[in-house]
Amino acid sequence: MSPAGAELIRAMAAGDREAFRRFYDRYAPMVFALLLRILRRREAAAAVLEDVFWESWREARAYDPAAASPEAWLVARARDRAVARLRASDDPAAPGAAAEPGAAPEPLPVLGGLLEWVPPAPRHALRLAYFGGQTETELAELLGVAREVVRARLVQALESLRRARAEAAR
Amino acid sequence: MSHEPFDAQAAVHAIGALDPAERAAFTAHLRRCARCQATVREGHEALAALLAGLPPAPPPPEVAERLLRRVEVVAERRRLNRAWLVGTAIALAAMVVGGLVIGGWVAARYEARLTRAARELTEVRERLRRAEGALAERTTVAPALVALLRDPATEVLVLRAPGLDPQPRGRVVWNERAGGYLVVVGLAPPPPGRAYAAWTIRTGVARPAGPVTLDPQGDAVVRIEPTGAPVDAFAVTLEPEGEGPAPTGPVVLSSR
Repeated sequence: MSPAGAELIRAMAAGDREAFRRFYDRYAPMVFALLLRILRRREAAAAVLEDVFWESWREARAYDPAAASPEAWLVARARDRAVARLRASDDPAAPGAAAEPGAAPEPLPVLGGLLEWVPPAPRHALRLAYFGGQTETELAELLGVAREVVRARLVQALESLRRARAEAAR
Repeated sequence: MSHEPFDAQAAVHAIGALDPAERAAFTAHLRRCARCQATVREGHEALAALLAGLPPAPPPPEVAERLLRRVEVVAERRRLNRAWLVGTAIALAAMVVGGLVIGGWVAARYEARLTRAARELTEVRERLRRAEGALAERTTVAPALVALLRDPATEVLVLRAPGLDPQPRGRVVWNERAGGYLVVVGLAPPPPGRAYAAWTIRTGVARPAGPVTLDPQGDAVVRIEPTGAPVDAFAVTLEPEGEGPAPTGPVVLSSR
């Protein structure tokens, strides 16, 4: 997807610090946007951002360009770290409420682009699961529907995204 | 079993919404299932593409500063480690070489010691062999002497050094018919190039009776064959090596 990004990771694996700086400049704004959306606090998002990029520097040698684009490699890692942090806080249902009192939650940017391709119910489930860190069982409870219904919506959401991406690539 | 449930699990796993127990079980399946790996991979790519549509958010500049500082520290530590490794490798090589040199030196010393020990062992064996020879000779001589002494015709003569020394230095057990033995005790070793010789003397003429070879204690037993005629006296002289037909050197012991 991004050969230039993969090149940078290869150079990082060889210890190229300049490549790491360029890699950070290139991908940090996208990753930080994701972290802000999940964690809603700049300080928490900045801490996870540092962890994620530090890991990318240390694990650059293990990167397999056939297995993931640099974006997917970073995003999957960032999302998991952020959700883990969110769930480790006292009130995962209200992220940011327990931590860092006094700091106002970041206003959420409106999601557009590919998400417009996803029907409303699956889109809602996807947003709660992916950005809210909710599991299927938690979503079923929250939405008052069966777990199978949640699963069907999530599968449909991902399939819509996949198709939209394929369309966009054409 | 249809793969369909796994396809759904793979999609939910890519989103990160599987319940913990189900996630553990599915992760085990995922390791072996290329189809699910592809589904998860495509799901991750689709989600990453979704995020590419998010307005980018510039992170606080101190994050980049902290990261670059950490990278520098690690690079510096790696340089130091490399230098340490090189130093250690040199030290190890020196130790190995030193070990070989010392090992060689020790081996050489032990080899010299072993050679010396082997030589000493050979000498000890040779001495033992000689002592055994002497013992065997004495065991044959002793019964012969006893047999001689039983014969009333046998006489025992005392050998003394010439001069004022009254101490007997030897004896001759003599039987005119059977011959006899000359026994000496505590003689000094002969000087280099000289040897002791025994003589029988009759009517003023000395006849050779054989060499007197001392054992390490200075003792000797010499068999004297019968002469076929009476003997007046017995003597031991110090002769040049390779004893001649008549005595030329000084008399060391005499029965007179």
